[in-house]
Amino acid sequence: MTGEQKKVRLLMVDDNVKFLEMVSKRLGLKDFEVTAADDGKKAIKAAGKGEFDIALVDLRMPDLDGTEVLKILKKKHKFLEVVILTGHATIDSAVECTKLGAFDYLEKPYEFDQLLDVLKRAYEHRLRRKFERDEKRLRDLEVLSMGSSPMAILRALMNLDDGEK
Amino acid sequence: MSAAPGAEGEGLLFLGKATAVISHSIKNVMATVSETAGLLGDLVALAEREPRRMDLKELGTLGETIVEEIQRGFQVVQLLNKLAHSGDQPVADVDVEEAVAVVSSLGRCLAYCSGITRLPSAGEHPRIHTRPLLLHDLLFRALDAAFRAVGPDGEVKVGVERGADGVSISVHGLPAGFRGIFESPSVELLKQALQARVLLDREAGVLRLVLPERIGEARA
Repeated sequence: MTGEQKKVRLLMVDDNVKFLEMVSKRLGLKDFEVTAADDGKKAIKAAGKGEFDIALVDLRMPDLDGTEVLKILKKKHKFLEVVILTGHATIDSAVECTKLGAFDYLEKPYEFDQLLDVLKRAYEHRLRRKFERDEKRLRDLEVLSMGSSPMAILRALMNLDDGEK
Repeated sequence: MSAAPGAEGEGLLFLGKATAVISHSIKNVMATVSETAGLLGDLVALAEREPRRMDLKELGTLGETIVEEIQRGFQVVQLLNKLAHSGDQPVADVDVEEAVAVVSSLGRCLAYCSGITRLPSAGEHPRIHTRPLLLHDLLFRALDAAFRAVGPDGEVKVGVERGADGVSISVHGLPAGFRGIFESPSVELLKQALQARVLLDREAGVLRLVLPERIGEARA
């Protein structure tokens, strides 16, 4: 990514504040725009306020754990890709997170390049899904425009942006 | 420990759980050290390309963070060491204050039970002759149950005092609805092996583990 390109908007949540700070800074140097939250509730609040491409979520947190955060984020933000980070990887938790819609699952400690690779793939996946959605809408609009009234076409155009993140 | 085979199994389960908790903490420390060292490297590489961007203060702060994290890692490893040695002898003299400190540190490794405060002690460190591993297990169960009741932002206070009937460890700050954990068969095994009494004062929100000065050999 060059400076000219849009930065990837990343929401990171981890209760290990030092770790959160270091990863946020490193990703900031790699053209990510990072919003950091040190608990699940803050992350959900931040996700409601801004638009994010990817969320990087710690699995074990007090109060609201990573699987709960994952469930809520995926329910409210259809196109947000969620990557799970954990210091306590088990096959069961990896399967559960995948079933809940996590894009990938990374165990701490990891190589930073590994993290960058996962985030890159998650971003590409998000773009592809949004592109496919837009393409389908365009096709629907083309079909509609052939036999519909100008008002029906206008209504369809207004519905194009439904605010889905 | 042949006289308490069921309890011995509980002790092993506890060691397994404690080891998992501690390894999680160590991984967190290593992940933070790795990322801090990585950021240090990123900033140095950046400064090589753009010397004006060199921020010596920030580099120094990152170095300090690495040292602090390594110290934290040492403490976690010391905790692991103490817990591992609690199984060296089935029955031994135990410093109860020390046992409470070890289990409190283990609790702090868990995100949901970090708010543990120690009540000031009378100065002495009561020692009892008991089963060290099983004592740690019972104490951890008490703290775990307490934090599940008060919630992750809650706080419990732990005190140790010598009384007429032995040494008691009290957990204060429990909510009115606290039901205790002491109805399960595994806790019953621990209580029997430690000859401990568990008292719950619901009104005061205090759970008390009363331990004899010396467990009877017949029941040991």
